[in-house]
Amino acid sequence: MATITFRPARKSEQRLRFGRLAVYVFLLVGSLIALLPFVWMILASLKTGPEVRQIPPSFWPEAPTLDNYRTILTDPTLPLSLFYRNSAIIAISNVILAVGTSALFGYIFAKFDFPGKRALFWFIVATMMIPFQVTMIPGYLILAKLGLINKLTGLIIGSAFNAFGIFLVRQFALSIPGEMLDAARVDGASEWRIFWSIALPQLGPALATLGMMTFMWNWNAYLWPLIVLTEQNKRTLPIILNWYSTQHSNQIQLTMAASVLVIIPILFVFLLTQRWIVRGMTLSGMKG
Amino acid sequence: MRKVMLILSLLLVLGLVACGGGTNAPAQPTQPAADSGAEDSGAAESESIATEPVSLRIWTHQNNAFNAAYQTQIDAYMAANPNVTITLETFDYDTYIQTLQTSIPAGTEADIVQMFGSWVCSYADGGSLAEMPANVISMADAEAQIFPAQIGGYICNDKLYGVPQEFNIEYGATLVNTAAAEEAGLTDITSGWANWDEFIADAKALTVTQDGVITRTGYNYTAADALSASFYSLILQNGGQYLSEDGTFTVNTPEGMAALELLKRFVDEGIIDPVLFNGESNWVGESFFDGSSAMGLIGPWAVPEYSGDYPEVAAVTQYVDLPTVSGTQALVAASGWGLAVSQRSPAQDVAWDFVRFIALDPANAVQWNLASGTLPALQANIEGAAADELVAQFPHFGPWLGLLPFAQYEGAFPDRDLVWYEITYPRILSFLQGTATAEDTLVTLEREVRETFK
Amino acid sequence: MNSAATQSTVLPDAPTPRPRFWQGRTGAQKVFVLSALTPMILYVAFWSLLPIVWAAALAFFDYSARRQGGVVLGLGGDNPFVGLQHFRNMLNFSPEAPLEVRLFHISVKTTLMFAFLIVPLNLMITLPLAAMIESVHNRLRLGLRTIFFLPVVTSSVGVAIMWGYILHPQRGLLNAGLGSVMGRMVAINWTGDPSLIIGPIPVALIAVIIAYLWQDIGYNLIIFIAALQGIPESIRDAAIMDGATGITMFRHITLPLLRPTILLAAILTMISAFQVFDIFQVMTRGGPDNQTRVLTFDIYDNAFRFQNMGWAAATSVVLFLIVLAISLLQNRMLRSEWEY
Repeated sequence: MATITFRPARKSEQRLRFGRLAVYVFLLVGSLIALLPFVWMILASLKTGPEVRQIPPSFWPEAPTLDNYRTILTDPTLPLSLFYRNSAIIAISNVILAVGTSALFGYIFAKFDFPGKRALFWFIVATMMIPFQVTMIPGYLILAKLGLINKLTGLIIGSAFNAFGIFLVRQFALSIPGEMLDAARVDGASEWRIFWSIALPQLGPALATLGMMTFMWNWNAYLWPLIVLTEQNKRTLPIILNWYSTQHSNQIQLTMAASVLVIIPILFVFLLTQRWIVRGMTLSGMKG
Repeated sequence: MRKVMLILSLLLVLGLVACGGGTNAPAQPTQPAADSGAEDSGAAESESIATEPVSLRIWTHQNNAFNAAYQTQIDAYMAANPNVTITLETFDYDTYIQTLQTSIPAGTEADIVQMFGSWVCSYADGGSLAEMPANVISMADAEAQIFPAQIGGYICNDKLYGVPQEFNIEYGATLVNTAAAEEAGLTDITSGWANWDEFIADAKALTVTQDGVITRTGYNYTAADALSASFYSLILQNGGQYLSEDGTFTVNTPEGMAALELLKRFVDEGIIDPVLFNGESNWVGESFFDGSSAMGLIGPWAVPEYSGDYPEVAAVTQYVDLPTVSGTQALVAASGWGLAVSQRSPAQDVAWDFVRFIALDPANAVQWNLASGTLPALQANIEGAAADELVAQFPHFGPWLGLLPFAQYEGAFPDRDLVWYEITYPRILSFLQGTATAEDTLVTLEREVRETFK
Repeated sequence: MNSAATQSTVLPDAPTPRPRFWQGRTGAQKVFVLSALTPMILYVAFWSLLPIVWAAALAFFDYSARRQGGVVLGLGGDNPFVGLQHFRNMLNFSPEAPLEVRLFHISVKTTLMFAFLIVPLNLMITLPLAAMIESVHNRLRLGLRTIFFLPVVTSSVGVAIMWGYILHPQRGLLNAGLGSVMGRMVAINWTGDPSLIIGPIPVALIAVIIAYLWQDIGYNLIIFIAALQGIPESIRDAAIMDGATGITMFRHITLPLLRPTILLAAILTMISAFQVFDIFQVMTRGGPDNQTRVLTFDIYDNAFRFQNMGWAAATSVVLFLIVLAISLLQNRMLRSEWEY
């Protein structure tokens, strides 16, 4: 490391305090910028059509109204509960699949040796290197051949292999003491039982993290559902949101109310579970 | 239990397939000539098909008025044929195109699919669409009953693959916000313009500018359909041709240049800012009805589509014929929206029967046009009582009915949407926005469209 | 097949445990591993390996799902083998080249511009921000971290729609703010005016970059905060004893210690920047005048809008090669970093 030289310690107290103040001001401004789009969205969703259309626009709604939400929730072309349901089915199924298989294979990769292990592990890691855009075309063709286009199953069936999940769980499982497993073996427990009652509890935090991250990814996924689900009633929230906003390009108040309904619930889920998500990202050094 | 259900439904499907095969036999009793009353033919058909439950799916693009019109006809058909269940599934326009392109190869399309005429052949050539059975309508009858510009798109290699339901025309008359015109002192705007100078003068008077920024455009013609239809119609009006008999596309001509120059004049006169008003921002449909365009170039389908959301503007909206170039009236028209039947449908005969019911029976067809707010594709419905009824309900149709005889089919492009939306529109928009010269625009446009013929 | 389309890099492996031999395992353990792995390998072969092989094969065919084609995967027949034709076409740089080729060139250029702008901008924001957040009171730190992380968990479609509205020419917040500062009406079409270009960079691309940065910085922020917390107290204390404060500390202690993390974050950020699709699709649709057309958008358009899947597969191979090159470069750099 480069040699570090410092000027002698003669900093005036005042200058230090000014520095701290600057940091706080900077952070305040930064977090306002981070929150501004959300605020602008929520405020617009409370405005009337004419108010949104006026030039230049107002910031605070002149006469806040929930009419836009009423319009959306009663719009027969927009059965929101159906789209929530589609998104939820896909996200939850994929969480269960990804968590289950990743737990098992991550554990096996960490705690067992078998011929071809290195090659298989490197293949798994390598699949993470391949951009999704490469495999989406054949992926689509496979689903088409199987007749799974336009079916929620089509978005679930291929998700049981989660390279990221296997990798994440493996990193955690490496720290399970081998003695613990061997002791169970001596007691005559079957391997499946050992996995179920000894390894799984140890992997709990990793699996919680993986589960939350998988949920977020699937809930927000856009491109792959856009390709696989072509029928309006089968689609998921992000696709519907984009559809609605192009349909009402000049009725921004409606688009923003729809955005609030789609975005805000998931932000609450995040606030409740952020501990796990943040830890998962930090520990794995990976992103979605 | 589940297994039993599976076997039962399999048997049912097999039964339907067998029936479908049976009705293709020449002994089919239904007569096309007996098409006098919808209920009659429907009843006759359902007798011959057997009364097993049949369920059909129809796919359409999302347009509130269209879909309400379909639903009304579907309900009427189901009332007359209680064994038939028809469900309507809708997609927004962009998604719909993509859906057709992906579902049809995958074989997951509905029994009946709504098609834009100019798309039909690309699907028919792939063998995905069923050919029109002669007992529904013969080719000769179809050509006699339907406008040639409209049926044109549905004929591929001398075979008919569907029926248009409406006359799709985007150029010829412009929407005018008469309240805005009155405010600007243009009281006789609905009597039309003798030439482009008069038109431009009025459009300028209708334009509102604040600090040099156009807040209301006088004439919004820069959306994708509007710009393409304007350009090709103006070439025809200038006495040119853009697509020769042998299929050579040419626009780098004096007529092409004249068309571009007129389109640019509206920009130069300060009537519109093509950066703020185009297909992506302030699209003409929304923009006209929310009041940010005083005149707007869009086909008559837009009026019912936006009336619900913007009743105030809809109440003061009228169509007025656009001027022509030196008195020559010539308009390009796309083939229209219509219906085709999937080759894979297990109940093709019922599907075709429904198509006949909704599109070929003049009484039902005009009801569909009335409900969807579209111009008729059946020539019979453009005159007499049907025409009166249409104009009575849609006063904005008046000018269009007079324009239809001047419309020509826009031509057989291998991929019409590519030519219209991915080449013509962006090229001309770039020219209007000032990022390309007129010469370059014509040269590039010509070359790129020619590529699509390969 | 994972829709999350994860993209990432391996962290330094913990030293591999001393190899235990398959032979040394008991029968029960072998049965367990085999019974779990066999279905997994078959599954992976079908859902992961097959698509990769298929994609590579498609790149050498003029393939469209609209046509029936041959028996094996629909290749051949009406979907003829064209060899290297697609790749040769990519090298046709004449202005007369077919539209799809010119759009591909534009897409590659835009993608590179986007990725190489995102990385420095991201780091310039996240590093100081992480250091500042780390320096404040504990409870405040958690709150700030949450605020900056909220956009990460927001759907990108939502992000694009929100920013689209902020940048709306007539109704947007930005123009309204500019207007009230300048005392006149401002109607700049940030995402739709092809003549707005700063040097080689279109303003519309900058608009997308801002929206993407806003959504993405939370992630690197978390990584850096974690890394900062990993700096031993003793080093800090020593520096403070020496009189280091604020910026000096950041420049001479924090940055050098964080070097490996920064490098890793930079490369991960770049690799994921190559694969951004949603924001482009929703915010600009590649416009104006194709100024924001990126490779992912080009691939999607060709494959699913124009059903030109052979060409799309070939261009996706190019995307893969770019990402691969960067990953390899990354491994080299990281390795030399650790040897340091």
